[in-house]
Amino acid sequence: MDTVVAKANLLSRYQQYTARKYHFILVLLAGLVVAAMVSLKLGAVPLDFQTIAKVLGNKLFGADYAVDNIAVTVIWELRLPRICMGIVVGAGLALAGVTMQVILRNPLASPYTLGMASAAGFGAALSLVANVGFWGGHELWTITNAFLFSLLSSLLVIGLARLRQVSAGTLILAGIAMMFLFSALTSLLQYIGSNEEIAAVVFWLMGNLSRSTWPKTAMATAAVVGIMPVLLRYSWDYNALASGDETARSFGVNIGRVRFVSLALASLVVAASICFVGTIAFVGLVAPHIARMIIGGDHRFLLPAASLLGAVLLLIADTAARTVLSPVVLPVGILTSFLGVPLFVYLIVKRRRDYW
Amino acid sequence: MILELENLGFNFGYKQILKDVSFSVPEGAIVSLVGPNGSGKTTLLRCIVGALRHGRGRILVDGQPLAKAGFSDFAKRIGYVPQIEGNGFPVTVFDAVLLGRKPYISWNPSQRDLEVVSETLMLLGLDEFALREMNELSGGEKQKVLIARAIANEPHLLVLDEPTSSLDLKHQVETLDLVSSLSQDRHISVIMAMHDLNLATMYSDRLVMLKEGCVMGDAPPSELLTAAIIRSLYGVDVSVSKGKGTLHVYLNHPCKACKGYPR
Repeated sequence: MDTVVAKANLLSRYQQYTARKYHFILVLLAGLVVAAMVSLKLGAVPLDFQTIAKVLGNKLFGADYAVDNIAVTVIWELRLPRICMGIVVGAGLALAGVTMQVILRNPLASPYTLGMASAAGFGAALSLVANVGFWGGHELWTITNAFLFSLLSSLLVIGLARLRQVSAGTLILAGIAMMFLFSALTSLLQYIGSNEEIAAVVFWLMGNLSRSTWPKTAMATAAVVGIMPVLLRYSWDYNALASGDETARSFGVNIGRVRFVSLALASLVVAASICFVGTIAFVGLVAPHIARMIIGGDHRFLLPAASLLGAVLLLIADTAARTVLSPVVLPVGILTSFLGVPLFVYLIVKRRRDYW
Repeated sequence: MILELENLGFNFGYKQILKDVSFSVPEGAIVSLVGPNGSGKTTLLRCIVGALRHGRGRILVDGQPLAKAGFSDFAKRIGYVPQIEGNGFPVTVFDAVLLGRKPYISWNPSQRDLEVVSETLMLLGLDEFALREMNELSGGEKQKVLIARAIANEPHLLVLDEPTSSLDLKHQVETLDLVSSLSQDRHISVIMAMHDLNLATMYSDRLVMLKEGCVMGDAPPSELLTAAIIRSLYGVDVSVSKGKGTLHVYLNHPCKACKGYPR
């Protein structure tokens, strides 16, 4: 009888533990909606919620409220695409971060571990300084260059892994080597570039969401939304991988394929995000860790939770970037670190556990 | 026979790690692999659990050949306890053991999965740690969690890689008591790599001796363990004596500056 009670007790404790994870995800979803509404309201042109509701009603549900044209432009052409871009990029980077960390089984891995950020930076600089490309210094070419080079870097590293069976540690080393190669190349371009060109490159490297438009947001969204379910389907394989290659193999996980597909898809998400917004570094490293601290390492919950957290973090950071020194707009890359580091350090100090 | 190995070979690059290994594990038996470091014990176990693809030969589990890629059907028959794994990402004990149910789970664990995990945790006395994190546990407790994960799988064959190597004397005995009682109660066959010949003798039905990738002997401990064969296996002088229903292996190594026993 005692064992029956003890078992029921254990099961209910585990169910509470699982329920907490669902709650965390729901809280994040609610937080994201609130943050988006507040972000729509704040800015150089102050708006009230009534106007926002009317504009959204008109645009989304075909309603016919009388609203100011300036308000429509500010909401629909400026703030909303930027907010959506922030959500999608934050989610995408965090998603890629979780994936890279578990696949490389390294807490220091981030979306940029495979040298992707500096490669994207080099691609952008190539277009901004050397005017290389069909459109010369045209923005579209900057985007294309950044996308292609960041993919190139990760494909070189992944290809190395396919060519010879290398360990996760070696992959990270190869990625760091790529990072140095591309930053050296970017430095070279900056050295030969004019002052204006250098400023453009530096601005790009800091990362910001100000160039967001609906078509760009749609493309980034397509990549993130299309790839997330595929990575989610690997959740149990990731759980097995987290406890060791050998263990995962003994559970029938085809490690080579999981690693290749995951790295390739995560790279695609990252490339599709940073080519539009520049390198926003911190979200992809820190959102996975914060989410893991709060709800634990089960990837069925960790992947969505970290993605939502990344979205919220980047959205709040970007709203702050637009408003703290208004009308000066700071690059969001700076603000993500200002917001993320204190949160991260607070959680580390609070937990007092072995790992963090 | 639960497990049969037929002329198994494995090469790592050009180096032959296993050569023509053949032996079998009868149902419900505990078989220990003994042999010096580098003799191929761990490699052999990894081939059996599908973590390495073997070369020549065949591995039969329940009479069926082990597929080259580890399919989850075989993952259901074999529970694997690797050497204690270091610093992975943190995971709670319950989730670690639930991973043992992976071959049965597609997305959400079923009620039965959760019940099996709970029962296993209680059987091993781990229920109080259930929601603690693995890296907060001691070595002995971690080893128990890994065993719990392996049997949550409800396997026919339990494969353990040096289950006692990082444990103190009490936990060594506890772990092996657990393994042998599981083997008896659930008719699980066991194959484990062991370094401690005395423990291997006490707990095994058979010993398989490996040297340089070849099987040097395969018999019950009492028939196999002689001073001569141990000397040829490890190159160390020992004497073997009978006592209290088991054999004892004593080290006769001439110690140049023995400190434990003043003359």
